Amino acid sequence: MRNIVTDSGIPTEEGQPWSAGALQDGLHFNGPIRYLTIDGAKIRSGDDGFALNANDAGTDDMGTDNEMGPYVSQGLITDVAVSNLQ
Amino acid sequence: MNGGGTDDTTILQAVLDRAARGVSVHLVIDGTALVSGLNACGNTTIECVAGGGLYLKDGSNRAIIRNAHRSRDAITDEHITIRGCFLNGTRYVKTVRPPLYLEGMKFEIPREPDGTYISGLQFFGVNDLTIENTTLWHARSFSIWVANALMRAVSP
Repeated sequence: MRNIVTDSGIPTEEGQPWSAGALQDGLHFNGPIRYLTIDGAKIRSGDDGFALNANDAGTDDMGTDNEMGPYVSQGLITDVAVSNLQ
Repeated sequence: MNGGGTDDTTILQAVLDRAARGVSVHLVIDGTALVSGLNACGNTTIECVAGGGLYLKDGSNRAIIRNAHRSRDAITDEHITIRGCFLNGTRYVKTVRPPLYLEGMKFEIPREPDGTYISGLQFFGVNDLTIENTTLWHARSFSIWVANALMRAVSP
């Protein structure tokens, strides 16, 4: 990835100001992943700006419980190079 | 392409679907298009020029662009490039299905019907993915979401 901008905006939902930005990550990665290169990213997010997740969602096995849907599991994330992240 | 607020999903998807027949596709978008979500097969480049980009149609409960054959355990698409695009998830105007809630937590989880979080760009099971010079604006959840990108042979 190169020269990326992500903007989740400023949370404005009424009634839940403490949580309105939840899950609005900028760049979100779930393993297994190998050879990830990011050079240049500007991120404004309501949650994690840049998230590398070998596992996620506080579960033991995302491959069976489908917490983040049926297409996401878990695994190692290796060989990562990140530069110019703002 | 019609532009100007008309839903251009059908015509753009028809172009992208040529890649499913083994043809490399380079789709150039030189204006603003309203879509309800596009699927990119392998060997596809989506390039926006002259300020072009995609707006997600109100009520579309899916990613603006995702790979066509999503998988958690196989590599199903490869050589996909997104370049130069302004991609607007239109979160603040969207009407969506009733919110779901994580147990014990009170925030809304914007999900597709199958439970996948609604994100801006979504690539699950892709080799050789390139995203460059691209802006993601007001996605419903994660702006860019990549999973299962382990370099290995492509499954048929």
